[in-house]
Amino acid sequence: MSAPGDASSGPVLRAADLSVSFGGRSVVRGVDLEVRPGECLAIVGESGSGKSVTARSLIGLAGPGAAVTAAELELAGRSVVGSSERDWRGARGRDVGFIAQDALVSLDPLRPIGREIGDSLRLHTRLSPAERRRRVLDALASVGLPDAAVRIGQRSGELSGGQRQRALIASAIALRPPLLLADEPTTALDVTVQAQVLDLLTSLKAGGMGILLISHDLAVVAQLADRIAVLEDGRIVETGPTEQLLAEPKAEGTRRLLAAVPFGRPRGTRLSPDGPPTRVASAASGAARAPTRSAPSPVTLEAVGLVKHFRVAGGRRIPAVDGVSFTLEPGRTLGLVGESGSGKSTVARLALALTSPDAGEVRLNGQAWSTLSERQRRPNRSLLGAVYQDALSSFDPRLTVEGILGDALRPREPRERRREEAVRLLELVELSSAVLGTRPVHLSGGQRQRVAIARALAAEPRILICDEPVSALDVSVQATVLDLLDRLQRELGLAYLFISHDLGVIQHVSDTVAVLHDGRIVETGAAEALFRNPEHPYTRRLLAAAPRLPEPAG
Amino acid sequence: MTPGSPRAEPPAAGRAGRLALRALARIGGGVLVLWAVATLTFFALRLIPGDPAQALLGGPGSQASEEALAAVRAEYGLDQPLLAQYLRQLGRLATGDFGSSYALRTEVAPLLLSQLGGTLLLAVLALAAGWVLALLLASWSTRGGRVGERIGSALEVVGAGLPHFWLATVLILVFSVGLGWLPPISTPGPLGLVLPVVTLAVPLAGFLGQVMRESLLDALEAPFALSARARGESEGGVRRRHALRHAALPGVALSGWAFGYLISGAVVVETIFARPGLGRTLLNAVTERDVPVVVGVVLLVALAYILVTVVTDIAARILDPRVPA
Repeated sequence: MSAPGDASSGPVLRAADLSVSFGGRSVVRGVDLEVRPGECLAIVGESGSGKSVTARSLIGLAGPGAAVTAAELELAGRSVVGSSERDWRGARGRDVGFIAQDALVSLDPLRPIGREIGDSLRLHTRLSPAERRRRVLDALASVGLPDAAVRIGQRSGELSGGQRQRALIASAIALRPPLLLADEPTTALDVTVQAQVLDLLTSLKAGGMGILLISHDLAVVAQLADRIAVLEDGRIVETGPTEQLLAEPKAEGTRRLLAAVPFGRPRGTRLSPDGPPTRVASAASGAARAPTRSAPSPVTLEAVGLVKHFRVAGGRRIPAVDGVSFTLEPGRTLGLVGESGSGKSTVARLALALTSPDAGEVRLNGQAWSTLSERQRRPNRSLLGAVYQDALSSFDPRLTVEGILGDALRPREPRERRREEAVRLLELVELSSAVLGTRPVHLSGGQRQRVAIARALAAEPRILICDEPVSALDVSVQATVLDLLDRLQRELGLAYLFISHDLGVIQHVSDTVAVLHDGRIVETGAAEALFRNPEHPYTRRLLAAAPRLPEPAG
Repeated sequence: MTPGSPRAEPPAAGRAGRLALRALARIGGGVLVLWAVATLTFFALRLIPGDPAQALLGGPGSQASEEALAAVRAEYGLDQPLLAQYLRQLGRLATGDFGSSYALRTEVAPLLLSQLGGTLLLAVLALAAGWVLALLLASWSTRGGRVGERIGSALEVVGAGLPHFWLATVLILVFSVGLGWLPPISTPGPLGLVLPVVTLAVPLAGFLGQVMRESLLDALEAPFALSARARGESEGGVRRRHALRHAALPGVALSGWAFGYLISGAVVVETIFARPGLGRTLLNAVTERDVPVVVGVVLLVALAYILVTVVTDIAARILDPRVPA
């Protein structure tokens, strides 16, 4: 094995005029990159900007049908332009480690993680199995996974999200490659876990590893990156040292990404640039008609002492929700924040009366709700709407947008009026009627969530239960959806139960915030006061872990 | 709801224990199924018009005397109330006594046991051959790009649709009559097994290949496969170490069903190739209205089917740790 360490003076990654196209369609256009040892370069961009393809083309895995060209491409001081597949295999894992997007599913669920991590060693060294085991234990220790000796026998399904991400990082750095490519390494992780993973990457960087970080979230990137390159439509539109780029963004794209970060932005401020005026006007006219139709009366939903148990393996019953009380008032938003497993989604299902509480009660307008039979609830079901995280799987894949909305309108509108109503709903969520004939798989993530919101509004609800409605979206798309929800609330007087793990989003959207931890509300209060002066230690911990942009220096 | 980190360490012994419990529960359920099968066959056969004593003495055409019929009824307990007959039969079956064949005048249990081996051998070999064929087809067709996939998918659909009697006839015409390589009937020895096994294995491989190819393709596209490639794993390594195991999962789950499919196929195949076995015994017994033999075969097949599904159920859980024990 040649020692990759002697390249410590030169860059560990150098790419000049890197371009990738799929069947003539250009995805990456002439990108220049350089990463030095101990440095982190972040590529930031919206989805579809070509950032993941860029990362994958750097290890020769841009995918079948990809045409990759580059004037120069050097990994660890060696040119890989025109490398054979065999040479690429030699470089992957040894010269460059790769952490794929989707941390939670990037380890083979059928194999023990010890094997997965040991594979890099098996493929690139002639170490004996005993020595490999020792190195695997070292790698697990270096990523801060305790009980390594137990862990190596476990499969990814037996590990929590943070543990999986650590194991994945361990498999990428088992051979101490001089360069690490990290594609959205903290997406889908809880904030506290995200903070730990960022700390781990920071310590790897301090140890001399060069890191190329890919992300859509400038707040995450700001924690780690020394330099940032903003990618838009396959081109780098701006690049520079982190502080400078955040303080004085020059390119339009950079400014848009910065404005999209919700943390610290007061309720009601727009996160996305204004839409085209015509669309806003037509949406407003559509909205103006809506209140006359439904003659809104104030509707409140009240939860009192909700308790819900779940049975776990071994027959034990654990409380998922334990004594949760709250009130939803017209025109206001209650933000419910908590990490995965805190019971957030169970609260949503209890509020919707999709599951019945073991103790406590949900009341609608002061009347019984959760204690009624489904038949008794049905007349008032239309008062409640729901928007979920995964819009796509909430649609019948065979239906077009018109079918989806028509289905939701069926109880209210005769067949011949449905198309017109569907168009009006689409205007309300700022979509053009051109999507009526489209199937949801062919829509973008943001468009899908808009269709989901339009569907939720079809029955003219007074309350929307939003369960992680923007968690699957890029920050910039998230910004547009949050702005839309805000506008709809003001125009239609809706009450929101807004559930999220993201403190920045919760702070931006909520009037009142409730912090959920292990099924209990540990702290509740007006959003501003709670974020300014958190009292419960858990709230403080969450706040400390939340990624945020540095305070603008002037 | 899964609490974040505390669920990390389910003790391995606990899982093995739960698997054992599960196997016991499944076997308990299997006993219930056997009881239901015995009950159903008992009453179903009594519903068939005709006098069992008459059948015993040579069928409806026989000119048996009233005395002879009465004697037979007394001998076989047919003169007792139906419920008593049912209970007596259950008691006998529970002790492994299947009665004696009307036609062959021999004990059913030893008769069936002597036939069981041949059929089991045929079924197990066909299952193995079906697996190998399906895996080969799936691996090959996923390597050949879109064209390979189309060809693979076409072969699977055609294979799965082939009826046993037709395939057997064609195989005999080509390899026995035409080329003369293999015997047209199942002679003792390995050569005689080839055509029967192939007849059963090809349609099975068509079914298994369809599901295996799907999951093989999914696994090759999965994020963990990208991780493996990014570690420097070769395409072959990704297949061997990762994708094939994922492809095998639905195959294992289907093997319980496949076994039942093979046993019913054995009825046809054993008859065409004149091969001794349970299938041919069953066919003969049905045509001769040999009730004890029919009941015996049905119960034995049900028992085998239950055992195989328990085994595949447990095997699937050992292979895939994600499935709760």
